[in-house]
Amino acid sequence: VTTPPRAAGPLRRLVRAVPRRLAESLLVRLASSFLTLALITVVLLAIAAYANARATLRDDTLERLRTVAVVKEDELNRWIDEQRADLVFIASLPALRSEAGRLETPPEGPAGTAVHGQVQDLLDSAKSVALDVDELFILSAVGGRVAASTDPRRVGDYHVSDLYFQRGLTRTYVQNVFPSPVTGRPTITVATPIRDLGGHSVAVLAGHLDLGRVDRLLAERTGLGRTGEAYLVTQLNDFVSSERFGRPDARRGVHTEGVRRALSGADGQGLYTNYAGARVLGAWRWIAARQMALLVEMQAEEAFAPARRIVVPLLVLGFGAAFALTVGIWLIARKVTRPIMAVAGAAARVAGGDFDAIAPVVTRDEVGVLARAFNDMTARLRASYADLSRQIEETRRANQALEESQQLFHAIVDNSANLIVVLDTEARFLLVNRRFEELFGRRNPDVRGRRPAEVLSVDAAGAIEIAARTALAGRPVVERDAEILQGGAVRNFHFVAFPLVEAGHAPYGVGIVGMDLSERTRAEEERRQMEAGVQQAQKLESLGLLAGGIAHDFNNILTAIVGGASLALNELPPGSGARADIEQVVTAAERAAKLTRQMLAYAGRASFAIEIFDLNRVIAEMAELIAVSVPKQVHLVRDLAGAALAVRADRTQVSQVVLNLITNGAEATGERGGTVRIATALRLAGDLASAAYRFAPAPAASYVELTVEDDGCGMAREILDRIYDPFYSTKGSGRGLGLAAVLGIVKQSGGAIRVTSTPGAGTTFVVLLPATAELPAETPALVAPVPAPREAGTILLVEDEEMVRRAARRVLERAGYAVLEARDGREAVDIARAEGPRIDAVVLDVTMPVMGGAEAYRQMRGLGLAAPVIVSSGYDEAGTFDAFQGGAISFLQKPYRPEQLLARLKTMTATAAPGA
Amino acid sequence: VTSHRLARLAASLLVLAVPACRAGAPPEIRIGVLATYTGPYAEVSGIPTRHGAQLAVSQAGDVDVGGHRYRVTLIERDFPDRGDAAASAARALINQDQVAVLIGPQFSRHAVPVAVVAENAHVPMISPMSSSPATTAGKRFVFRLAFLDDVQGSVLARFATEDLRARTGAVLYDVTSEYSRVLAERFRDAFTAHGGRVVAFEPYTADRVQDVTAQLERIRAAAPDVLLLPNFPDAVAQHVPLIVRLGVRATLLGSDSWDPLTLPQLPPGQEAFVTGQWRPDVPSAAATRFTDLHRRMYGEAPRATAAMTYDAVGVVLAAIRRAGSLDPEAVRNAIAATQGYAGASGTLDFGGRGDPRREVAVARLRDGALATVRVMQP
Repeated sequence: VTTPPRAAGPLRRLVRAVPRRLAESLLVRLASSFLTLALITVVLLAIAAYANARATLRDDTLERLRTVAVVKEDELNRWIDEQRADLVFIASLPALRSEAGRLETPPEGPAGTAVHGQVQDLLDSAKSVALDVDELFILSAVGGRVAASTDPRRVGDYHVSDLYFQRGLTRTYVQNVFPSPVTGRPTITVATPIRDLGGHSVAVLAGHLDLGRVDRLLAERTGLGRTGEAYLVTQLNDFVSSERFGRPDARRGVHTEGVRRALSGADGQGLYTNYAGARVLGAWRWIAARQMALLVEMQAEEAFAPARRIVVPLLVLGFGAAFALTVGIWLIARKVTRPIMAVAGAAARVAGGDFDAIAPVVTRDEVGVLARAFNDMTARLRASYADLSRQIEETRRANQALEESQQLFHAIVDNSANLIVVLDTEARFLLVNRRFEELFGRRNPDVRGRRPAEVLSVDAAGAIEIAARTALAGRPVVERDAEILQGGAVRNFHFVAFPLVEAGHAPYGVGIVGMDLSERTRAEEERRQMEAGVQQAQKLESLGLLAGGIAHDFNNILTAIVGGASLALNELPPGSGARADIEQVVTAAERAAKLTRQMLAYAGRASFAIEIFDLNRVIAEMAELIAVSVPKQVHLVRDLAGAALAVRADRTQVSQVVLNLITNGAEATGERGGTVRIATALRLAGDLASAAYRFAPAPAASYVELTVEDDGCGMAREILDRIYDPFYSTKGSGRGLGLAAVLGIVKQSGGAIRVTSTPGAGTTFVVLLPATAELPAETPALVAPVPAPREAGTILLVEDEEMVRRAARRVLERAGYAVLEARDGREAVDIARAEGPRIDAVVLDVTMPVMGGAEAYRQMRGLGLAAPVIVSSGYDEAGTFDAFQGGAISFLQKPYRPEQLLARLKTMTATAAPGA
Repeated sequence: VTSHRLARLAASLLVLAVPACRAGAPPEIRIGVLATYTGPYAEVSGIPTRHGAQLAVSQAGDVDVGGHRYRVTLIERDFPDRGDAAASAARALINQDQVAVLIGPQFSRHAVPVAVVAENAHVPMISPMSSSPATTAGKRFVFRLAFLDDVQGSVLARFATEDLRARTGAVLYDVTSEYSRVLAERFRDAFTAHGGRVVAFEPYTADRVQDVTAQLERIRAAAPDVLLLPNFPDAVAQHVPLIVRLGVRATLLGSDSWDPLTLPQLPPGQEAFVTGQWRPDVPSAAATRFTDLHRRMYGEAPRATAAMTYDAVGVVLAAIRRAGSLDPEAVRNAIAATQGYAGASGTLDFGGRGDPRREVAVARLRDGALATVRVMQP
């Protein structure tokens, strides 16, 4: 689809362009002026020719119309005279003269009827043959009764008072046009007496003339052209013509200029508007004898058409000639103006910078002189301009070289790691480099023209001024060390000062270069610390391995201790004094287990039971634990988020983080006590200033933030740097593993941690954990186990550690189970092969000699053992569990209490064999 | 097209300019009045017509037409006693005097041709007195105020049989006059229908008015109870003395053409019963006012023609005021819609037609005094 062309566009541009062209171009002005004058002349000529032709045509036409009018009047009169003569002739016929007096009303008897018939025939034939009448009739002499008529409807009418009857009784009478009493139409009636043979009038013969005939008579257009017409008008302004009479626009008669003048009794001709509203040329005559006006008219448009036919070619020819002349004028004018335009064009090019432009010398007249003078002028200009260009170019090159040299100088000075200062002979700054600006925070423009003492500290100013004065005093190079306190740190500088001398002159200034020795010192210190850090890391790595190994053995030992102690407790009577002691043993063993777990956590080998839970809920559940972990004089404030804060992590580990931080905070308040505030909140990823954190958290849309804040003693920066180091503790009693474990857990949970502390005001830990959109699983309510009667079933107990195996066996047997023992995986597989169907459950150690738990498990399942298996290990679940696949399986962390083992067994067997 | 528009614009500017130049002269309503102001009927018809029309115009004052005040101008045209002369006069009023409406003529022999002219020209016309059915028959622009000839013919027949107990009747009439002829024939038919017997039915022609002795002798021989003379006053004035002289003893009946004021020839004690369009002895408020006005202005009692003309002009002006326009069609429609117009001659209703619904009064004429005897429904 194309948009419609905007036809007005080019036209509008042309219309706008014309006045501009007129103003700008002599040529255009000349040509257009001439064209205008020529066109005006042509138009005036045409008007004059038209007016002349029109006047002639008008006179000719009017004369013709007048002639026609005379002819038509003559024809009309002759026609009426003929009718009149014919009527008189008919009235004189003997047949009529003898019978007319005997016409009676109504015809009586056969004789009367015969007379009527005879007369009727006579009238009918006279009407059709001789006369142009509408109606021919006979009126009785008495009463003017219509005795006979060509129109039988009229017989019996009385016309006693009608003029034609009264006059017609005595002589022949033409009643000039009058409105018919019957039809209202214009009528001309001719009447003549019918005399009997004795010469007495016995009747009147009358006829209403047929005016349609008059119409036709007038309508013969002799020399009246296409629109010519002739018509009669009564003295009452009515058309006589039966066609025109009663026209809707002539109901009140016809009132044109021609009619008005004719009715006033004058003859004449002229131009006027006719009855139909058209301009006509017309001639009018008053026919006194008939009391009518005759009008002959022709439409002006037709009459004047020849004048127009003259004018059109005249205009075309005239316009053509005018345009041709204009073209000629244009060409001549262009020939004259072209040399001038050439000079003007050359001048314009010179003005635009083209000094090679040359005006063509085409004539030898004034224009030629002008062109030559112009060319001379251009040549001189060209020479001057070339000189000027050369000078400018040289200056520009020199400036460029200078600029490059200065840039090099500044680059060297500014990028130097040394202080570079230039002073004048009065020891005022001329220049300082970027290093100076960075060190003293004073910029070059700020210090220029000022003395060091005005802008620098006392020792810096002193060092610089002394070096400067010494150099100015005539020493070629002065070297000097100085300590300057700047920004709270002491910096060592080695200054070298030298006078600035131009050859053969006194010094105009002094240059000073100061080398910052303290930077080098610090770099060395950093390198030493880095090496120490590497050593520390290696230490931790080996510690981790050690801790893992120890933890395994420790857990086995502790399982035996807890198991044994628990069994012992059960056998002691309630009031026994040993009971408290054994309970102390269990408590101590559990603290040892906790220590072990923390060690494992720090070493990155903690067990992680990943689940989704609500941090708020975890903190709420820990209330009791926290209460006992915190001294009474510490005030705990909980400021938890209103909504659940779902995280995916190890619930136990996170609990430990919370507990460690709170314990840490509480301990920071010291003896006098204080406030520890625990706050949780949900933070969007975008709201975090992650740079402040120890490491970047795993990417997530939002994070759960745990804040633990105390108003305790706070920590200095040196301490803060080391708080996560294992075994680093400011407390006499601590083991130095708490915060190290926190760091390990947070890191493994994909979280992040930061600490801020002000000595004397308190410490704030902020922990971030990636939030999850999933909902935390509801912790199933613990159903208190029904103290069931003794359990029945056979348990395969696989454990290499004698101590543990014995304790576990006793626990199981006491609970009512039959126990099959195996010392390693091989034995376990053998027993499973032999006793498979008997075995209801397996308690399986992981780390064993000969065959490990994982291989034993695989082989036992291969033998078709379907019984549930409880994997028990001193290591954590995450590291262990991957080796076990399929079947009913569960993990039990060592050390465990006897009731934990029994509860797990009961759950597993109930799930695996509901029928048992 | 453009030049036409310009021409039309120029023309309309001229039209606007002309009234502005002559703001002092109010526009006119031209009313053409056709009557016989000269000749034998001047006194009984022409002059009363003039008086009635002039009184109506003076009563109306300037007329409000579509929010503009118009002065009412009466233009009179006299004419010889011929139909074609009346028609010519009407054409002159319409074509040359440019009248808006025509009042008159009073006689049917003039009104019928003029009605043809008015209808052709679409000019509203009211003939106050014309009673011939032909005047309005088949025409839209022509109205009358009089009752019709055939109506008064049959009313007279009923009156003769019912009130005068006549058993035989006679008629002497002008056969060349349509008025006389129609009346005579309607009377004859109705009288016969009511049980009477027409014993003589004698025509004469207008050019032999005085020569009716033969007819009257035949009537005397037939000895009728009543004799109807449905002729014009000049003829009646000549016939009555002849009747008395010849000893015709019948009770005379006259039509509305009789003019009691010009009948001094009726001998003392001789009485006649005549129909009339105008009943001055049964006064209404409008009639009384008109009579008083006429007496004050002209020093004499009005004739029926004056009262009827007064009403005709009043009806026309009221119609123009209602139409709010001088457009012929609008004026014609307004006249036709005239209803309950309280005129001097009675209440007028046209009901959309050219003829009003009117009662016919029969009065006793005796010793130059007229007394209404009975008012009859057509």
